[in-house]
Amino acid sequence: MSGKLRKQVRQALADETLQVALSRFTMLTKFGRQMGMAGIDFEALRQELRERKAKAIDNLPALIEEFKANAAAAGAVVFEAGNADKANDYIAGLARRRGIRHIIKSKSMLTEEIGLRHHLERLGIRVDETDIGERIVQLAREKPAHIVGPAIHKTTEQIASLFTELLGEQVSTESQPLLDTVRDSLRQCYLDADMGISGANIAIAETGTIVILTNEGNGQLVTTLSPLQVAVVGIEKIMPGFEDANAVLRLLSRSCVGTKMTVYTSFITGTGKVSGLPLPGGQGPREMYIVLVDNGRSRMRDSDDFREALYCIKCGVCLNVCPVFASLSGQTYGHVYQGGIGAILTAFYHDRERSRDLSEMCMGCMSCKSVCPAGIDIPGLIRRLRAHHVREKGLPAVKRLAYSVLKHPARLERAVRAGAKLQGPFLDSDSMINRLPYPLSSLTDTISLPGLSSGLLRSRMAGCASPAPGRSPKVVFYSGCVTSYAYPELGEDVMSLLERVGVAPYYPQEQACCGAPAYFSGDYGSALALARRNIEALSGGDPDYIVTVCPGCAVMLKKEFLSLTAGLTELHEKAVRLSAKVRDLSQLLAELGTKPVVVAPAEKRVTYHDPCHLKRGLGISAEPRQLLEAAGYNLVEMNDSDACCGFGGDTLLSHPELCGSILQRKLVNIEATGVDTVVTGCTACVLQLRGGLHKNNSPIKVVHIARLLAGQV
Amino acid sequence: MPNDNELLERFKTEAALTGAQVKLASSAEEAVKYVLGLAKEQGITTVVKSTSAIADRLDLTARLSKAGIKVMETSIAQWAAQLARGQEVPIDKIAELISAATGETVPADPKAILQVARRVLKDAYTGAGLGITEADFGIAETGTLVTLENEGNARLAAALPKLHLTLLDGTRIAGSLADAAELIKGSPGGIPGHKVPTFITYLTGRNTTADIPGAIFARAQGPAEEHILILKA
Repeated sequence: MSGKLRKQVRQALADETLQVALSRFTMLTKFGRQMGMAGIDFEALRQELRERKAKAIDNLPALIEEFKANAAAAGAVVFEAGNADKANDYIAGLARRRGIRHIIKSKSMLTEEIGLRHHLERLGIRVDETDIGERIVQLAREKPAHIVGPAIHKTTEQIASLFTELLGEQVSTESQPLLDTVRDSLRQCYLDADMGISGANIAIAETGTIVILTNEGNGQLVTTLSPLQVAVVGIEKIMPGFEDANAVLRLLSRSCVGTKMTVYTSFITGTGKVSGLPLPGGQGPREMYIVLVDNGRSRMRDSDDFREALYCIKCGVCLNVCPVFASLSGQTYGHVYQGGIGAILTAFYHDRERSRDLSEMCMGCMSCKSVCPAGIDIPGLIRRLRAHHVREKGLPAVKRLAYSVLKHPARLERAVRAGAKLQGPFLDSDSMINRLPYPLSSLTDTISLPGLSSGLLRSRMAGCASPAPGRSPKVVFYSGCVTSYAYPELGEDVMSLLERVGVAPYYPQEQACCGAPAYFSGDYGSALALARRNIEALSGGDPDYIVTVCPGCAVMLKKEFLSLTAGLTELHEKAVRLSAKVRDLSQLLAELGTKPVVVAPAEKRVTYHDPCHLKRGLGISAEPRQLLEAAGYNLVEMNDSDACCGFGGDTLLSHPELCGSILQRKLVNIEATGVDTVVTGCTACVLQLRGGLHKNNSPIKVVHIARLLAGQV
Repeated sequence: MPNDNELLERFKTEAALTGAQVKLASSAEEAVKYVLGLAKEQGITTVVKSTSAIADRLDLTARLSKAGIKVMETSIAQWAAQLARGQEVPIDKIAELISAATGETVPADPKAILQVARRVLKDAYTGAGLGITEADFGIAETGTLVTLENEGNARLAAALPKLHLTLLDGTRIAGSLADAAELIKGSPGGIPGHKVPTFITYLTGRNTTADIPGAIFARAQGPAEEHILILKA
């Protein structure tokens, strides 16, 4: 992890203006998406879009040929540029041959990617961005903060001062007059320029059409007013026909802005003419050039691991819901493409090293995946990217050591016992650790840690290694590391709760870490070793269910073991059988229809935090609430109950400030409910929330739902 | 399948939700009165318009002119005809007409004609208080107006003046984006090599920006208001 990035992260978090702008942005876009999703079947529409994109990318070489032929027949000149330099040189050469001095440009992430504006400016050509946000970042000499809203981080004062400098006259800091000034200054640019450059949101092969979407209207003007027009188009934008374009249009604006359609959707096919007169070009461009850019896209297409990143329609909704983006804005990513999808695109279009830094910031909360209109598994792509980095450069020494311990439960237990002995001086009266010494100090920067338990769960469970004979269903309890080593009493509560609801629980002694830390860091070797061990350990005694209280572990057992064992026929078959039996505790209780074993104290109010891996990983959010209410608890919903708590696993080591910032947003929402107890269904969330509240000296208690239902609170 | 009336109702509802001001006129007279009223209310003195069968039917140019409003045609052929007081003009006469109208000598060369016409029209679009265009059809599910053209004047007349009014035949409403695509594929537009017209614009609501903090502002770079006048049969 580069020190530069960490410094940028700190700066962003300390920038109060930025933080205010970001919270406003997050609120607006959340509201926008709710509006946009109203009245549609999102899952069906995104399935359709994904299928159409997949088919288009599969057939890309043929579609490129079809597009070229149809665009050329309609009067456009098509040039294929293999990389950024070729595209830039071609466009610069065209401008030079035509004696162009002034270009107007609409927003295009691709032109940012290839650095086209800077290339042209270096040659002495004036280039004016016309999207207002893009114009602002151009004047500020910055990179866009967001795919769709490049200047979301700027205040009116900052914008006014940029235009004051540009125009040489005092510009108002009031929004409306400021907008009037910006519009007037742009109007003049359109009228003066002699060349227009646009991107394209979609390209249609069957007609050779490019499709350009703008809400401001600048796209209309850029593509019409200049006699010479260039559209810079990524090859992945090409789709077969109008119905494919419609699949994009149905979700793009709804996802990012919340309107049904972008205000101007412009389909442009070749060059026009004056009706009734032999005047070619008409009032639009006389010459139309389309530059198809590859720049790493074919390489991405050839990669089974990353091909689906090409389905991205650049709507930006993944950024709108990303907790990391909400803390930092896209400026901090330091490259053209931001957020999770940005890490992948950066790896292919720019810089593998930088993409490694970016990929490390992902919390794995899966919010992006849940809203992506093309159904792209962004967290999965990030994990694969990490795995590629691990294969190329190996693991950092600390992780290598850590995972080698995880792989061997006996070593891990020895380490935990040693830790439990050494931690004494660091424990406070609540048995929490508020400050660890270097090099572990960053772990306690934003949360207090629970002390390690010397009485390990496995030894406490020695007498429960097999189910009581004659009872059913047989339920394996898989405890996971946090329960085993920090919260063994939770494990005992789960076992007693399962007894009391009438099932036959047992605790296989050979179970080990689920391997999630290694897996999500891209160390598939260690993860597979642990998967193998757990598959064997948990299949013994032929259980009916395998129950967990850590949804992170559950996702490993249920889903990721399947991909880890793919190709190992015998093991994979066992993993498939295991997968079908895995349940979260609340899911199992709901499924079995068990009666509550304890009743809540009268009028007891609690709030509930949705763990990322439970809600988005396993799709469980109703069950825990039903169980709480059935037990008589009065549930007070917090704002954004399903927003990440900031635990983020390894990210706690590399970016503690970032995790802390995400955590604090969560704690504000918890405190706003006014209740004294927050319930959740994940041991990692318990660790994070409890640690944060303890650090803040808050009296609010954090309880795992299993303890509450077992009557231990 | 929804009938024409249902499509029209849906279109009206959706278009209004996008922030456009929608007026349904049941007679030609009602339509003309609406346009005159809009122009008067907004203090409009100049109008640019693109080719419109509905405007022709309403005799809109004459009615606006009678009310003291200057109307300029923006399709170059129609503009030339307007300069020639309604006569169709062959290409070699156009240079003369433009020379007379602008006071500068324009050679009888297509390139030169186009260059001057574009310049004069640019000034007209930006100086106009109102742009009047006709949509080929509407899309009910999104409240979208679809305009097909090859010349590019309609999209400029829709984007550059202070206000924009779209005329729409109430019987020409497509149900969905999918229906719209079918209609477009059936309208090749008449340029050899083109399978669809050069410029197809879907206009949905008022242009906006969220790039200036404070709110989502209307009138980003296009007209301040979008008006839709639907003629019911």
